[in-house]
Amino acid sequence: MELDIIDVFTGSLRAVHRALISMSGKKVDEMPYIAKQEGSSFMVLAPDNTFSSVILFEHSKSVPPVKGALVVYMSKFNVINLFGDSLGFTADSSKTEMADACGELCNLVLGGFKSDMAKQGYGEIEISTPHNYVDAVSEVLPLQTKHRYYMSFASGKDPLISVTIGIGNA
Amino acid sequence: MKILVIDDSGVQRKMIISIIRQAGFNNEILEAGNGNQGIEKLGTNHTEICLILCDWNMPELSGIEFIAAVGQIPVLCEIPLIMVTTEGTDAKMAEARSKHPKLAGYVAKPFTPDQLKAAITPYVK
Repeated sequence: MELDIIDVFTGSLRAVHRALISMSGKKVDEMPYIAKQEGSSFMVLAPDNTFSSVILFEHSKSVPPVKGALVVYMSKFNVINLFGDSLGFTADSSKTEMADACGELCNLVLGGFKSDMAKQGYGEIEISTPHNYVDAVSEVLPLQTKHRYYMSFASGKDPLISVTIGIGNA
Repeated sequence: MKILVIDDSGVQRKMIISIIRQAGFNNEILEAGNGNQGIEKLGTNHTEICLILCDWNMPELSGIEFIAAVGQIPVLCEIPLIMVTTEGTDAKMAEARSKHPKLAGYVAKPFTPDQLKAAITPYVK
């Protein structure tokens, strides 16, 4: 059963909501801002005071096999805003710890996504461990995407986290 | 009595400990970053441990290898053990139960605080 981009997109949407509640106890708005992105190259791109985390995934049962990536971006301000209560982050907390939290969020999103895809009958999806970036980053990932979406999650008018997900063939 | 938390993510261990405290449990908490460290902690503290919370994917010795080892030792397999993991499929759950037939619970990440509290409350002394 080939991985369908709509299932990937909606699965990741649900997974972000669940992961945020799990880690922060806080909800974000049901519908994020969504933009479909063009182009085949997939980059991790962030300014200073941002924590980015990438997980690669692969669905080998698709024919041909499908590879993808999910990137989570959080500003330092929002790491404190979201995880200040649950993880005790303050403005003085180390950037390494904050990057670990962003990586863990990314891991939870992919974990929820994996379970969601399995329930939909796709079987096992292999995921990597998170690769975390601190501050400005501009890196091209080893992935040529056919489909790519950018999602920005907010609580009211306040943007909280953004996520980019893309899939292509291995 | 003590609670042993085994997870390679320091953030996850912090979250789990925070939820244990929110639930009103003041037990001493032992932390381990992988299965090998979990076995070390278990070796010296097993008579005082009332509950083990264990992740699946960890370096050195994974959670599934840890529970398989513990599941074969009579005195250790009686300690309530709950897997807390992103491996949330039915197949993985069945695999875990086959390695440790007395597995006390299986909590899939991401979990809500209430889900974890409900899983651990029957076993914390």
